Amino acid sequence: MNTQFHKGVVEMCVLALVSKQDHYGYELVNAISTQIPISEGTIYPILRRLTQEGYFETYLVESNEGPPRKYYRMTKSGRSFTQSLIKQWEDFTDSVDKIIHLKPKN
Amino acid sequence: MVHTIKTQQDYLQELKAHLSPLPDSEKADILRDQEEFFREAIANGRTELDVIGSLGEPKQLARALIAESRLAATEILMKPTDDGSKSPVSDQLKAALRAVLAIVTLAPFNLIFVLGPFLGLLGCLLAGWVVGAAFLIAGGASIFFIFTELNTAAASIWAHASSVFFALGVAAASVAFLGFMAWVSSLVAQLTVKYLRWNLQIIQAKA
Repeated sequence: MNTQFHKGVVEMCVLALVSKQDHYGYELVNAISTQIPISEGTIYPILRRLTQEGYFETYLVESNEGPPRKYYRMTKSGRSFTQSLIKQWEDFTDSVDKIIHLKPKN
Repeated sequence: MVHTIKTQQDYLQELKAHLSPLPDSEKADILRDQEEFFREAIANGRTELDVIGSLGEPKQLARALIAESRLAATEILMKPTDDGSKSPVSDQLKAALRAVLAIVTLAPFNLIFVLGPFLGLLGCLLAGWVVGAAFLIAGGASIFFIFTELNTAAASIWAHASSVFFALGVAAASVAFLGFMAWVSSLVAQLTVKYLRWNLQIIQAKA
């Protein structure tokens, strides 16, 4: 698949991951970049934007290995935004599936 | 491209230099995030060079972060606050202009697609405001002059009634027109931000 396709869904993947549980940056980058081939640098601007738009809140947690980690937690508005994105995505992939598996008429 | 960046410190320093247009608090927060990223990656057994390679050019990362920041700031400004009030139109347009400039820096071809048309629109808006203000001043001034020229005799007021009403009409129409201009200006700022958001997605998908 081409990169344009990948980048479009990264935001939704980030939202989906954080909607399940709080994560810190490296976890998110790792979880996504091992599944989807994208540059790791692209995830931080997305995290910052989603935070600025009020979909995420951040908090620091002391870690055993030195300085604290910044965790991302989903807000109420983030949750409804994620649900609407996933709904759109499912509708879209359903339609694409139907077209791909369309049986030719005889 | 020549890679002169060999260490985490070089990377962070160069990133910091390129982030200079952002407020200090935001800059510090971004650098904190990147330091954490390096730390976690290295703790997971990766080399500094590997991490540097995966993050891409600091200049490009900085530009993307600045464009995001400007656009997000504009979007926040456009949203009515909880009490339903909106930011002044002039602030909205200023923020939109900053977002436009940041996106032009990120992708120079946007000089043609974004900056040109946006400046054109700003020019039209400015012309509208100037015309509206000129008519308001003209209307107000003529009422003032008509009254100062009069010898306060009641009869002569009626003699000038038509000019007074005309001047009042001009002033009222120009106030309405200025109100319309405020609405149009806010609309321009909002559509600009919508367009920039779309434009930014396309740019980043290409990168």
